[in-house]
Amino acid sequence: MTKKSILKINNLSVSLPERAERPFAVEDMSFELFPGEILCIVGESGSGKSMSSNAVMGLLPKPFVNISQGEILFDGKDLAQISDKEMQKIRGSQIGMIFQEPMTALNPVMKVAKQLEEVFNSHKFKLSRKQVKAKIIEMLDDVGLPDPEIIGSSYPFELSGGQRQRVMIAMALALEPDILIADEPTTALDVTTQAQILKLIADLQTKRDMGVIFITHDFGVVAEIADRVIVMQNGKIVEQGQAEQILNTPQHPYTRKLISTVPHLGAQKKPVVTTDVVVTVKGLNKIYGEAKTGLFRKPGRVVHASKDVSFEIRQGETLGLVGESGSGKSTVGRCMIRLHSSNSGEVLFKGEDILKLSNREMMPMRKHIQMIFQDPYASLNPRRKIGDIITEGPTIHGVPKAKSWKRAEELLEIVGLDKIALKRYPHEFSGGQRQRIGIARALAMDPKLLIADEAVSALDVSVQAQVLKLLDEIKTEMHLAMLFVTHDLRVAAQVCDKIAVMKLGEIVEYGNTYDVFHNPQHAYTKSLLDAVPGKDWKVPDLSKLA
Amino acid sequence: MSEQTSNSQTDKIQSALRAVLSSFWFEFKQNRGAVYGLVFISILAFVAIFADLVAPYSPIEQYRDFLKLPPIWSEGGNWSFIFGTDALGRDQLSRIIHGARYSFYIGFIVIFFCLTIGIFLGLVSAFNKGFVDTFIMRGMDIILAFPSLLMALALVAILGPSLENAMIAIAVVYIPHFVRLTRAQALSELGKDYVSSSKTMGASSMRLMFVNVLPNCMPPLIVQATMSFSSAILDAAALGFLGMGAQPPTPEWGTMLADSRSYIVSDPWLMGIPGLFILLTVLSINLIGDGLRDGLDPKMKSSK
Repeated sequence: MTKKSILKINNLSVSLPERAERPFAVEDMSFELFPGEILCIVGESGSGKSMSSNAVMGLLPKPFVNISQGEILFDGKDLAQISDKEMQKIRGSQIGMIFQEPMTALNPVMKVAKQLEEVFNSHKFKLSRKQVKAKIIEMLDDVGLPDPEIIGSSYPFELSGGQRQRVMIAMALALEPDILIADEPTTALDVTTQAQILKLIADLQTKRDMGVIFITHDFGVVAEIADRVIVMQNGKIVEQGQAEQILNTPQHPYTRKLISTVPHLGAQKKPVVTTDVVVTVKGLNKIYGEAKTGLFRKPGRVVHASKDVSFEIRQGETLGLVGESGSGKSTVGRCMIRLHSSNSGEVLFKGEDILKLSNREMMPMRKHIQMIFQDPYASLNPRRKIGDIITEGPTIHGVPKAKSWKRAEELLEIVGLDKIALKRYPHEFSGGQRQRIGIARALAMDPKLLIADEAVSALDVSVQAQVLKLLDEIKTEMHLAMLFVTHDLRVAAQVCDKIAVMKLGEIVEYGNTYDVFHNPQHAYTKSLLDAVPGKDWKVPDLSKLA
Repeated sequence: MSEQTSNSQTDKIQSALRAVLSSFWFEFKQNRGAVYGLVFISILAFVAIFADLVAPYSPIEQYRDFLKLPPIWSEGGNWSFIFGTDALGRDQLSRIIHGARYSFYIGFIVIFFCLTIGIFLGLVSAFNKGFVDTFIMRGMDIILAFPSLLMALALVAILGPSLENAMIAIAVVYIPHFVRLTRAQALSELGKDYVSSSKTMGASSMRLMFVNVLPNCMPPLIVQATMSFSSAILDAAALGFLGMGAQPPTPEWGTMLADSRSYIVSDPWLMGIPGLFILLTVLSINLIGDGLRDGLDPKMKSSK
């Protein structure tokens, strides 16, 4: 690379306030960014990847977090030294930024075109209203939004997640910056939308010869988009190099560990499970909202979240329910456990239709079906101790306290936590540990069927791998049937025996994981598989390298 | 064996409680005003509890030789009667001390009714969407539609003027705030997955309400309770002043104000002293309420 770098960071350190868990958010970081390249910064949560980009943008939460040493050289200036006022000029016009959550990054009560206009006005460009208008339409068109005029006159809430992220990109690029910083821009999006946005960023970058700093935790995305990669751990760069080299022949042990935890997309052929059927779902229907008629009542919006869904799960088998957000996959799980009522259909558990049972008759059945939730922070009661949380279920079902407490100790051991945890409160644990506690809570009931609702989606990739391994072990040891609800096809490929693909409340494809992944029949399944980032990258077998 | 576990159980609870309390106290003492408030209220509470020992005279005994004696800091004051005497020759200091008892009594009883009834109705309303919810909440809206003191006055007029009836009236007026707060908190907690999890265990709605959801709703309710404590004292004093609360010769602060109304020009301290105590008490309790919010509300916690 003979081009001159546009951004050069030398020995940058960002200090954290005294009581933080480590002294520096970013420690002794040096790298260069060249025009026309996409530089990916990868790392797990808390690795300091966002802090480093915030330092470049002058967006550190001062006075708690400060640049303690080093320089950020851009356009002949040291961004670490200049005043806020000068920084403000550079921000937006020369360095653009897009964020993870497009809903909160846009002003909810301002029309899109008006917000874009603000960008021009705040940088005092001598443009007439007409020119600005034309420019805005051109920009919206550039980011691939259909009918730019209609989009321009709508409010953010009227747009979909993907459209909002496109608007954000249009805003960031409005003043044609030399550098674009993208902080997890596709993490909150569905996989097909993510693929489109990644393509858009790559296209715009080539067209404008920008330098892009792309922050992500997802190695799939890195494989899809990166030219060069920086791997961060605890605020330090542990490895940097060409994408090809990092992805296929990583040198540093931490990079190797991270890459080895990325689930393989290629599903392996698994033996067909022929044990007894634990649960059969037949023609499950769930409709949200009622079509109200009558005086003063508009006909309500009706969402068919589950449309004639049917499947069965056998003992020791994992069925993956995959689909994008709004496809109704969580609804199905929650209807099966009667957290939601359903409109029609049968859920046969040991030959009995549990949807028809009264609440009293349902009580003994509750023991057999348990659920693991997505958000490890909201799924544990913050004001109860772990011991009380785990033993709550058995206590309700009349197990003596001493006995269930003992069982809780065993369960904690099974999920890999010390029994001292029983006396602690949930806030003392990390996300991964909390998820383990959630699993222990579900197991305390000795269930036959476990419903995991996006159980690993909120976790870092290495923690995710551990939890997946734990779930798999538990399933095998305890002969559980498992319904695994997820949006992540890589995870599904790794853990599931069978896959059901859902779209708009319907199962469009249902079959063995291997068949679904290698020979998808339905067009939607094909498009989903096609959109998985980094699908062409074969996760290397690192055991050979070592 | 079982004794041992129960022992270690209580130990655990105590150590956890200590940790929570120490972090709470750390936040609370950051707020200077709250600490001053706490000191004043503690002294007042001590004096109120031991009123019979602390007060120099009986609050209702009349010393006919010393009518309208001014307090010691003004001319003609007498060390036997530090705050002076009222128009009937009763010792002001003893009346203030005994009056503090009534103020705390009013505050605690009103808050007790508000919390129990308010929390119950709020939880029931949050857990039973539909008719029950609408019925309770619209009922509360109707109560709130009246100016609060007017409503209390009307209730006392119906029940008959007495301190007890005044407390009931004030409690009724305050309950809607507690119901609304509880319901709003409970609704936001109900959406969280730890509640779903308990449901999948087969927890009854009583268990969900009181074991799982209620403890998570408590912090704002405690703050609201302290704030209402002071308003209750204020409203009781107002009712007393209007002759609808405590009846003479009860040394209630509002009634004391009413008794001395005719002397406001000639002997202003007669109204001034009970007025000052009402002010200080209400101010202190409100300051404590602020401190409690700093300590209990996670959203207000200083960043670490």
